[in-house]
Amino acid sequence: MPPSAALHAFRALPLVAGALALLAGADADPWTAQVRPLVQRHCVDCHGADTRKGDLDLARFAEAPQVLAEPRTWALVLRMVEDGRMPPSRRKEQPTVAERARLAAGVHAMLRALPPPATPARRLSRAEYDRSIRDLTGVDMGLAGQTFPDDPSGGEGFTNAGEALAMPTELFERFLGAARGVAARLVPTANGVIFAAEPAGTPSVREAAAVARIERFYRRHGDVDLVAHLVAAWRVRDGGEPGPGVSQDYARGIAATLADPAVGTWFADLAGAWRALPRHGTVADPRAAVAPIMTSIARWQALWPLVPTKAVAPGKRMRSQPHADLALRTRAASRWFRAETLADRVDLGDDLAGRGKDPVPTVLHLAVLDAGDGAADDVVVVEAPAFALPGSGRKPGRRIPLADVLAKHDPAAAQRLGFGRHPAGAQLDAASLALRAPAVVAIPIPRAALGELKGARLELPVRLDAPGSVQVALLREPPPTTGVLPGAMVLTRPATKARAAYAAAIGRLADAFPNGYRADSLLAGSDQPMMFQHVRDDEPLRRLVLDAQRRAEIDALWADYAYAVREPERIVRNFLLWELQDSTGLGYFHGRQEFLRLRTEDPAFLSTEHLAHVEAQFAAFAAKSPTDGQLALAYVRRRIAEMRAFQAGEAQARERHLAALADLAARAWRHAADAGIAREIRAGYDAIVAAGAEHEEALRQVVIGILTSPRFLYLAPREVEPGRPYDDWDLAGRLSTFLWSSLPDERLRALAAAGKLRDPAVLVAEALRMLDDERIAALGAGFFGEWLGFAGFERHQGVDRERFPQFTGALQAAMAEEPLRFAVDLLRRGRPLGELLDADWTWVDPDLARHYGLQYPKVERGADPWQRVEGLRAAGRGGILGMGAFLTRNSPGARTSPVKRGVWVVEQILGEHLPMPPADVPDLPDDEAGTVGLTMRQLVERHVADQRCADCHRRIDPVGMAFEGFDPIGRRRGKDLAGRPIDDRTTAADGTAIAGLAGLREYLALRRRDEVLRTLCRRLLGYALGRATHPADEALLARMRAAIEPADAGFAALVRVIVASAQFRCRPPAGATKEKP
Amino acid sequence: MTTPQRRGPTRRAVLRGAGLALALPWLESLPAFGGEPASASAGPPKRFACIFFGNGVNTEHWWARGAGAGMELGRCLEPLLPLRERLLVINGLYHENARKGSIHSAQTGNILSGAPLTPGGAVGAGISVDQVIARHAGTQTRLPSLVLGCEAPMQGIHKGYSGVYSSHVSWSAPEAPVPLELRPSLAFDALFASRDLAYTGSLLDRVAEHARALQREIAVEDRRRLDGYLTSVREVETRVQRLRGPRPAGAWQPTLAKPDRERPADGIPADIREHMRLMCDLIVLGFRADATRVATLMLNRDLSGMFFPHLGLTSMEHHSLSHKSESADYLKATRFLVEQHAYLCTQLAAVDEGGRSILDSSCVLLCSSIWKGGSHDNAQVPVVLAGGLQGALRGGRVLEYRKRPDGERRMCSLFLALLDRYGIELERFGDGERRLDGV
Repeated sequence: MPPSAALHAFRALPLVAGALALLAGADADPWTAQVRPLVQRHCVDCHGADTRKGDLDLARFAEAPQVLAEPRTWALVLRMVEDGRMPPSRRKEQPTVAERARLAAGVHAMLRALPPPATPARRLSRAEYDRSIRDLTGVDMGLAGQTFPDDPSGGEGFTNAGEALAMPTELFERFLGAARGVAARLVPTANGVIFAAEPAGTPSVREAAAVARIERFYRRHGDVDLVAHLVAAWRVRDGGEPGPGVSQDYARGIAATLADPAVGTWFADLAGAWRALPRHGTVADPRAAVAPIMTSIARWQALWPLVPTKAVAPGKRMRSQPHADLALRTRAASRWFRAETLADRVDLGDDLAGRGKDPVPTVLHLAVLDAGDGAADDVVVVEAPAFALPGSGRKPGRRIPLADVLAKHDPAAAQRLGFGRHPAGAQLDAASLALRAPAVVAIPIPRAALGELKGARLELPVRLDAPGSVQVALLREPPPTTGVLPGAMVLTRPATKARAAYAAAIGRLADAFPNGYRADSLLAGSDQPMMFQHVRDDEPLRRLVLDAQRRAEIDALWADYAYAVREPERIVRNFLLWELQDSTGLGYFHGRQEFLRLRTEDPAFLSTEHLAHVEAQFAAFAAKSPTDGQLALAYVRRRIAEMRAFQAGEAQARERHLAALADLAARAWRHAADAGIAREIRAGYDAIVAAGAEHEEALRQVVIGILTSPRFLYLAPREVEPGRPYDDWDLAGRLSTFLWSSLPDERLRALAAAGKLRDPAVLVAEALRMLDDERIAALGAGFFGEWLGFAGFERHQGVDRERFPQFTGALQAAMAEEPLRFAVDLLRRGRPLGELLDADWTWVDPDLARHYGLQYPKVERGADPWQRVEGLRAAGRGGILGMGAFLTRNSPGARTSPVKRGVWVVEQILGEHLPMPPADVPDLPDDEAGTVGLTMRQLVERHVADQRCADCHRRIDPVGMAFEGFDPIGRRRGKDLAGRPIDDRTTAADGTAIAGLAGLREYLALRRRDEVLRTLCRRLLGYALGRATHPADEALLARMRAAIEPADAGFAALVRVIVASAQFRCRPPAGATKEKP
Repeated sequence: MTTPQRRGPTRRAVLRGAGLALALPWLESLPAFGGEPASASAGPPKRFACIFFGNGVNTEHWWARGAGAGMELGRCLEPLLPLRERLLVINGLYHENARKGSIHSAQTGNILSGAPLTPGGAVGAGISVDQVIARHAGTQTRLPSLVLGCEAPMQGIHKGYSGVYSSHVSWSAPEAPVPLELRPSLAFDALFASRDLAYTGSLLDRVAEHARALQREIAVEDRRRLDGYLTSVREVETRVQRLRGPRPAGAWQPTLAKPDRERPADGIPADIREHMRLMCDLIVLGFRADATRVATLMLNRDLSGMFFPHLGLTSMEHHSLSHKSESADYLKATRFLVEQHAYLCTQLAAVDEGGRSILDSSCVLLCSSIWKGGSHDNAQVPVVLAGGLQGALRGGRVLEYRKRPDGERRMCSLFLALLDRYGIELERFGDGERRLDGV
């Protein structure tokens, strides 16, 4: 242990104050006055010039400067003396406690005059490696956590201590293996490289990953709340901004569309509802207020429905891709009008079936209304309306003219309808009707005819007989209005003004209100096994909703997808394969020997030569078959051209891969992304390619090189003048390692590149920024976890699980997680440090809440099960002392251990140093139910009876006994495992009465606050510097301690002082303590 | 997802090394460098090979009866007749998890793992039995396993499952199918050119150079901190050299030190017969040189688009043929695929490794993921084992499980029984929790 350990011991000894007084009053040279005489008397018999036991000669130290030249030797001496290991117990003459303290104080005072030592260059710890890889690749792979041995701890007891982190060969192999694991996850994309969660060796895995990324994008940005956008558009209408949470572009687009006069003309109901909205802000429930607008839009949307894939050539077998291509395009979620949307005729009809409780209608209503433009003299002709009877087999059914049925059963109605009469006096056959808009006519369905009309459908083919426009509909209820009927077919004639105006208006509306914004599924294709593909179908989303940045993002994702599956090549290959395999008579190559021997696996399959041959075959096919052949030829030519373009673009993609790796190297190496790195990466790549590797393999090897380089694996600052600040890049690395156990982020890198980090104010500001970031969890796990000993609790095996079946894996994991969540919360919310011990809140999941007997709050389904709860103190806990992890970790199996719990508090929280217990201490029974009648308390109290034990146990046991109200797995209890009542009242060494955990908390907070805070300071400084604290750090420690004197001081106060300190920022001045291996 | 569970603490010593590797895909399990070559006293190692084909068999002619030299084989299996005394024909095995999804893809990706398959275009299965053996046995050879195929993987999605399942039976981790090597030349390189080791060698040179450069940039007192790094780099370099070089004297020596054939031509043979034969030859070569001890060959994939023009089957590809699985045409195709297994086994039987052939030290599994293609029936799958596994596997037998309850006829139970014979004792594998009775 380094010198600081000696300090702990020193402060812990009861006679500290006296020793210091002695020191202060003595000669300025404590060596001559205090240390040397004791060394002469107690040490040199064995550690003299001749004897040199343990290769140690203390006799040669005559003057103080000699001592200062070998500080580590003296640190060792201190530790041995204070641990009670030296002088050895077999030696008769022993120094008194006071003498030990004097020796310690003297040596300490001497070492303090030295400049503080530097943080030694060191490798990354296991945790730092995994976090760095996570931040470097965006994927939390945890490779080191799975495969590396535990790091040794050193310094102030942390696994980031420089001296302890060596690089034995076995470990280097693990680093190499982990780098290979990262490289195996590399996926080159169209735009650079990314990393997959698992090794990405096969195209299918990449396809799945690329698709998953696209789906994730759509889940985040692909759902459009039209109501919210209408409300936002309403704000825009009234001169406001769209507001948050909606697409600004889309909200403005909607406002413009609804204000468009053409829309107002043709879709008057919609425009009317829009105008009818009062001023925005005057309505309590704006979402409800826009409901009529939603209703109108939904009706009109019937005119531009989605066209399902199979709508192309339904029932007809398709010629593979050329047809599938058409199908895929018509499937688009965007507007594809029904062919008849722009028409001068429509077939209206009613199947005359009863619906639900409604019987067959007795009357239908034919509405012929002025369309939005209201032109006069709009006449429609209903051409020979008739009842169509069902056919049998292929034979169509009989048609009975409506005119005949009415003439027979309802002559009055026939007369009223006026068959054969044209209002403009034009010719009309006797079975037809002509009507002038606006008109709503009732068409009775005579009951008497129903028998004859069984299963029949009434068909009304309607044709516009004028250059204007009408709206027509056949309804079971009379229309509510003679104005515009939302969603009813509008008829216009080709090449008329009305047609042009209507086409423009409906186009505008359909553009603004598509039926969908993207396809629900990315998969499309036919049932041919090979033809299912992921197809992009998000035109409305991209056009209307996404902003420029998101558009670029989704475009890049799709480009990555195409690259990942080499889509253009795949399409050509699959097309040819289909032509070969289809045995239904459509496959053009089917059964042809020359193609049967084709191996699509062979790269030569897509060679220029072979594809020229293929193309020639299709040209011949096209000459024979102008329709199918032409379609196939055009298709194959286009696809081959696309494939060639894709292949030509590959050179650029490769350049981007190398650029991405240069960037990766710069980030991994905590270095500016400069031309030197780019050159180095390229040289490495070229050498590997020259050795025979293909492109991707070479990329992987480059990645392995980046990650096994000492520039990544080591934190070794560039040399600067003694006493000067380290290089900016090294400061960036120090700071990110301290707070995040990881690499500098983009902002730190930018500041380093600008040379700003040597300014302590900038460095401190960055540290404070980094405190409030989720990556601060690293400090929670690394610092708090290792200081307080909850790190690795998830692997704790000390619980007797047969005795405690309640201690499940889930509960163990929760106990391990709680202090981490607690620490992160403390850090990010800047809570007062005192809450470490007395917080009234913590984080629990349902298991832990049950274990603690706490009320678990109501949470929504799917919400994070971890919840912050208050009221811990009322439940008998509070702060870290009451956490299950500590209570359990410090219990050996089937009993509690007041000693272990006490030692934990005394050493970790109070920072006292306890010497090793004597070797011949008898073990306590394993099970507190089998203690020959004695309670744990009675057993523990025996310590104090034994003089050798009493010194320490007077400090340990009272603290440990205060925890007796918690069983070995941290549950509250009133009785021990043998059923005897618990007594957790105790008296501290200083005489303070302590009642249970609450009493202990109070004792620590009030009486021992200073020790608690000093311990925190010392441990944190050791963690931040990656080394043991040194006597020369005392001034800095005092500044830290002063910074947290205010009761509301939080962790940030400590970080400020540390980060601004010379120890953190600068190379030590000349003459600093040299660390020896 | 299925992760093999180790049985009992007795094997803990082995586990510390192997269990670690088990958690990782093969690319990461490099600490192979640390593995010592086989010790002097050890004889030839055990090998494992699997030959897979898709779409099932002609079930009418897939049968065997009798025992030993008197064993009779149906027409599908006739090519194996000369090997009958080393043959174990196993009827009636199945995978529970291969019967839960849709046809083809969801029936195939777990043939060697028994793991549930993740639907919907995602990729997730389980580690396959060949890769478990590779983790265990592969650390002593240049290549942990050789995974070959004669047909390109299928992409896209078929009936709700990724095409990856139709195309990959070998999985190194739940989300990591092992890439198939289709090109004989590259498979040859993997076995003998030791490219990977060569790359690692030059990589170590580069990082050592980095360390020396870095030493010049940092403060004097820190320079020696990199000495340990440099020492380790040199040490690993030595190990890599050793792996690339000849085996130490006294260790078991494979019968082949250098390949005794030319590197195959680049590209893919146009004739499927030649392609398959070449792949089998490469497995034999790899086993002879002890460059690998585990090999998996997919003759074709499930939903195969492979044609067999040399059999006069010009009208339909393998998958379409399989829909008339009892036809004479499909019999031809099935026999042709079984011939490849017979060829591989015959070649392995011809290599003498000190009184024992490689086949005597091997288990060569032949299987398909479907029984009857016409109905996509996989209530049982065709399984044949050949080889002696150094006395651990007794041939000349037909094992019948068709009438047994489901729990007693799991394919994964066979895998557990086989893994035992490789010294890998797992408590569970896939849906198997017990050893197959009677192996």
